[in-house]
Amino acid sequence: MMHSATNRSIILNRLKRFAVRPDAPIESKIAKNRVHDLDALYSSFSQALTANGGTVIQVNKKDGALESLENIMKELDADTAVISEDSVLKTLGLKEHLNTRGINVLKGEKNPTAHKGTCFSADVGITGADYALADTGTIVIFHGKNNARLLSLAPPAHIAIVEKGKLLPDIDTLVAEIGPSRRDLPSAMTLITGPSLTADIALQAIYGVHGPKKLYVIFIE
Amino acid sequence: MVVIEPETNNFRELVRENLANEQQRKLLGDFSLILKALRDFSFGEMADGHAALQGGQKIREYAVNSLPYLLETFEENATKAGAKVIWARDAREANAFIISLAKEKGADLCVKGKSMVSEEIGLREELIKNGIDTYETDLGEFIVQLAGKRPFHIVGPAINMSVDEVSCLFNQVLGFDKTQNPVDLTMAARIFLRDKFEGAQIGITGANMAVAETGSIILVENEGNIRFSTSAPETHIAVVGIEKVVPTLSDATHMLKLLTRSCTGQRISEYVSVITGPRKAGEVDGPEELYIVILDNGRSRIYADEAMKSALQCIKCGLCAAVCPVYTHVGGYAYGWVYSGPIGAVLNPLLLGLGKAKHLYQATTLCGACKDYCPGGVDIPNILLSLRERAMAGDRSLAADRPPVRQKIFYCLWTWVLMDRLRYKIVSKLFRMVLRIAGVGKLPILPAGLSGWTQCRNMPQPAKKSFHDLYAETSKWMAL
Repeated sequence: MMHSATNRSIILNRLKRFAVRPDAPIESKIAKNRVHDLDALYSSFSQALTANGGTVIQVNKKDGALESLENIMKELDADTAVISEDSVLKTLGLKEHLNTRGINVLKGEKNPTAHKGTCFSADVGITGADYALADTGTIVIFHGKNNARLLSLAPPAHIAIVEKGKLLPDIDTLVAEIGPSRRDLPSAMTLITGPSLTADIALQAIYGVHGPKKLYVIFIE
Repeated sequence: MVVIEPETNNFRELVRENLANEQQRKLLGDFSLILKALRDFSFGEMADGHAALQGGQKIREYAVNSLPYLLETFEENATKAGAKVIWARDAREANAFIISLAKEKGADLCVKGKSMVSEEIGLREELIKNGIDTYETDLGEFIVQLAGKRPFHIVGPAINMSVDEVSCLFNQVLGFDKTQNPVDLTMAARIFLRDKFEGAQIGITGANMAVAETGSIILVENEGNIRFSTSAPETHIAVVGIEKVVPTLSDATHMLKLLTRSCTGQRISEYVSVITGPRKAGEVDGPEELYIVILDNGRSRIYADEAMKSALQCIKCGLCAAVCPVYTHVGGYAYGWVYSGPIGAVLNPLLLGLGKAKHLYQATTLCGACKDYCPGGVDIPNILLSLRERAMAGDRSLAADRPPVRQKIFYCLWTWVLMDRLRYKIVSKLFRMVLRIAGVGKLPILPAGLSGWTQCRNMPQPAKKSFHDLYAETSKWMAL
């Protein structure tokens, strides 16, 4: 039988005989706040994510977002969707709108098994994003009560609707941004830079191996 | 300590077999060229790629030097976030804990993300042996599992297999129709594994990094299988080698930039998960419980050895294999165990014991390409030299074999000869004479007892005159 606590002290004591105590506080280096031009960030984001197999769309206000969403749903021939409780989606009145257009927005389940069932059966998952990183074309989702993890993963297509103001230059600015509240990181923070990808068979790049085959990011000005 | 029997001492046979595989050799050549080009391009894009590389090496060196203190901070913060941290000294303990946990949960289906450390402890085999249906979900690793092989490369475990081989495998084992289209094969795996993701009670992963500052683990992938394994099942178990810890989140993001660029030449992978504790109240997915198993399994022994310590700075990017002249000829199977390429030539002997992997550290050119490219700052060429020296000396602390008596006598005699000028002169003259007579033909092979030396190279004909003779003559001539 294993005794984790005994093991802990055995392992740590053995290591400490040869270790050096850290000479600096264990704190992230915070990148300097830079003034950034949102249009430049958008164009860099768009270029990077497109190169990685994603689709990036910029729209004016609410109507534009709903319209381009509808077009995507048509293109995907999607009948059912799961959507997150993100505030952007709520402001758009997304659920009501999709319902009037004949798309079945599946009910958000509170029971984990039922929730899995809906996410695995939906055609599209629609979410917001907490940040977007320009240099890599990455969206960052803080998973939590209003942002379940499987919404952006289990359906074969993922659409993220993001306010343009969420754009940051890169991952270093992200660390700076979440720096002051580091202790309150969400249970899972996911960085998404394209659809699910593999090159495990004969080095051939193929999208949609397990997760979404398609990723769309709609930026609202 | 090791569950799967390593074949590390069959190196010669494995090399011979693998060198004969023309298709594999061609693939290795392409793989190396493509990866190097992608890697160089992605580093070239950085503001200062070289400085970034050096920065990463410093972070890893610092992290390894302060390892136990960082582990304590990591444990404290991970526990605060609600994770359960378990310490295991070896493979047996880690496996036993995970299996008893799975049984306690009544689990019968388990999905796994690709993890070198779980490969090292033979976790999948143990789970299956104990009646828990376990699936590798990384496509390459899934193929490896179905084929019953070892990973061919740290990052691309099945890159050596042709479309046809994978197709036959899927046809035989899973009953899918044969196809020459890799897209169809990929979709077949998608269909097969989707139910597993939905139904599994347990998800098992490794971790690319453990962040002391936040108590988070970071998982890097392209496929999304790790996201599924850490989102769908009610229990997530992460097996983490003690060396995986980095001080801060900013250190982690720096290493992330180097890791993805070195692995696949990507600026960032498709998915990066930063996991801090299990799901919180009100969340509908993510595991109810997160267990982080911190595993030693021989690493603290490496840590205690100053000459070997930097091996723990490895971040398992696999780049050293792609730039290695040995790996790119013999391939991953020749290394006989979990780790392949230059880092395999270091880690396999260190983890298994020198006596169980006698050839790996000898079969290197010491060209140093691995060290030049290494984002973790592992001094592979020097470790290889130290391993040779320790093996020669029969170092018990690294479980080296006792050197053969014949070898000992030979070196004693050799030293005795070299200690005295006259002795050296007489013996070398004799030796040259014998060689000349024996080698009247073309290529003398040394007689039994010394034949090992000429197994892979020719014994050169000695020159007509020795250096000493020439020197004496020249000195006379110079004096004129």
